[in-house]
Amino acid sequence: MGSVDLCELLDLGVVALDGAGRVTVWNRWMEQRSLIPRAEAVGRPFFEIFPEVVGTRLQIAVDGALKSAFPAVISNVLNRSPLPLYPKDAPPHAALDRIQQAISVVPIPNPSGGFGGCMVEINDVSSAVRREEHLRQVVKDRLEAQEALDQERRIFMSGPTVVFRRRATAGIPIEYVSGNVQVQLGHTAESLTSRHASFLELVHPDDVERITQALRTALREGREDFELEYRMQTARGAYKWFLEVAAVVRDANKQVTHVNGYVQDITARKQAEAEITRLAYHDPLTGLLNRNHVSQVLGQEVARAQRRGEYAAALFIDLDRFKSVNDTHGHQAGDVVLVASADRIRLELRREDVAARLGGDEFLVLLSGLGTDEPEAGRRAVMVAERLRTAICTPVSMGGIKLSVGCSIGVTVFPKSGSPDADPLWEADTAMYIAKRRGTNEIELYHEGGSSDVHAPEGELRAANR
Amino acid sequence: MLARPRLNEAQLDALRELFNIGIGRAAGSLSMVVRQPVDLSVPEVALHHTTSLDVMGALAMEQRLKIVSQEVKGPFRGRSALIFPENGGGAVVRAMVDSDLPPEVVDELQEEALSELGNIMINACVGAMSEVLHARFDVGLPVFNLGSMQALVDAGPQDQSVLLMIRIDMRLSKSNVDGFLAFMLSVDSFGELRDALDGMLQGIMQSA
Repeated sequence: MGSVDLCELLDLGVVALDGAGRVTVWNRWMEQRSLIPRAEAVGRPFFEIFPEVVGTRLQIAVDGALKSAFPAVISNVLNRSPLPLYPKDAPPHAALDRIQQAISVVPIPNPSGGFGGCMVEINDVSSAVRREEHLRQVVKDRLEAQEALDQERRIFMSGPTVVFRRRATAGIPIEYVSGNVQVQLGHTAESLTSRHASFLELVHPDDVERITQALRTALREGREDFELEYRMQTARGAYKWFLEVAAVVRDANKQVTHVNGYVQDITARKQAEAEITRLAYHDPLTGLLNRNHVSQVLGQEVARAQRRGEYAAALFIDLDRFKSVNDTHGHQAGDVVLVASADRIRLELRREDVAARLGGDEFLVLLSGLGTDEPEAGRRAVMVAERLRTAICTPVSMGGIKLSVGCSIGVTVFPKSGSPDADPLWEADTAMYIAKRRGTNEIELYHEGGSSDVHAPEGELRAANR
Repeated sequence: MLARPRLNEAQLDALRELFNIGIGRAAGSLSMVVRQPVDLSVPEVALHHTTSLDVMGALAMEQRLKIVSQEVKGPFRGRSALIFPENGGGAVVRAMVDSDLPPEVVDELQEEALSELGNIMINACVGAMSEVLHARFDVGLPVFNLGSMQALVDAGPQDQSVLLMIRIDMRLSKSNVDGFLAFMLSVDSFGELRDALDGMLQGIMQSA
């Protein structure tokens, strides 16, 4: 009697079966969850009350307990709700889910020794299952969020943008830099931030002055953001161009404490720009400056000569017999002559001198730093012209044939003391024209008045007075 | 140093056969529970002294084994256990429940899932022994523990000194996991087991 009372108090289902599998105990918990009254259950075989159990793990467990006295546990994890049991006090006819069950099957010892029958104990683990499902969802959400974050990180880390934070104090120490700096520069982020490496240590020495100036200007003008382009050195010593886009960070007193921003490798762009510049300024055949660009350079040379009070000279060179080389041996031969002439001109000049191809078979040479005496400057320019003539007149070999041209050179010195607005290109051209009229391989030094009483026959400068 | 407990070839064969029968039944029950083919085999049966666990190598060193144990009383007394190395237990739970389970959820489920798995395998093996040896065993409910082999041995009765280790190769879905069934027996009980095996062998000879 006492044991029956205790069974009624338990918050779990208790079913006892005799050795033949018939129900002997069916507690109130079971009545409430199965809606089968005890009077109806007791005396009936368990598998007749729950026919769906036949052929399941629960049946094997009950058989094992009855025949071999083996206890068994039937977890909710591997067996979801094997018995048709529903929540207590549920409204009638409601669509209900079965309660989640964890079941133990325990053989019952006989008072006389051995075993007889078994007890089936059913726990309602629905709330634990709900917790576990909630946990599963939480973990799943977290993993998805983590995966999304990892993905962003992977994209960012494999990308060209390096994020940084610099302190705006002397030395400009790097406070933070994203890990992909290692891909861009070969330095690890840690190696830069742990010792508060100066940002300027990385910058190309030729760019340091320019960017410190730009930073000062930006701060003075109260700018909140700015862009810079500069070179930084990689761990292997090479330099790469970077574009920096940055914004200042201010403290409560409006003082700039940090600069946050990002840098991107623009080396490829810089190289492309350099190539475009080269193409825009140079003659593609000879590599000398082209006509457009040399006019600019000439303007700068005039201004510089005036500023320094030193004479400079322009040499207008026109090849003689070039047309006949072209006509006799073809355009390829003409190109060979032009390239050879350009190379020889380059070889005769100093670093600071300038050579250009004006077009066709016309070249222009600018000489600077010819001293403060105008006649002496003229003599020195004519001497260079003579060297150039000798060089150009030396025949060029092409596939066993010798290509030979001459040249006429007009020379002018600038700035002229009396006429600061004179055009050296026009003067040199005029002098060349006079030389040409005189014959081949002539050199003519321009002088005001335009007459050609001063001329230089081949090999010798007869007079240079004005 | 204690002599290593010994069984002759015929006795070992009989034991291996006995566990193959039990494990075969467990595989059947398990397939039904997890609704997928489960392949269980016994590649190795070995005997050890519980005082010289080091002979078991890596498993003996492992501090975080997953152990489901049941007390066994019959012709011989002892403790039976299903043992998984640390990662093996989780792999089995994943294979049985859901291959995408995150570790936190596996931790949450493994006590129940491994307890039932151990219960199925131990009951099946003890059942096979009971039939073949014509003896009745009383078996306790499974208990789940995390711990070392030493802790398992220490928790048992003092007179247990022979350890029967049965390696179980489990193949579920795409996983292949090694576990161990262990029976710890007293020296006396080990003698009884040996006698029982001899009786079984004689029975076979007579019927042959």
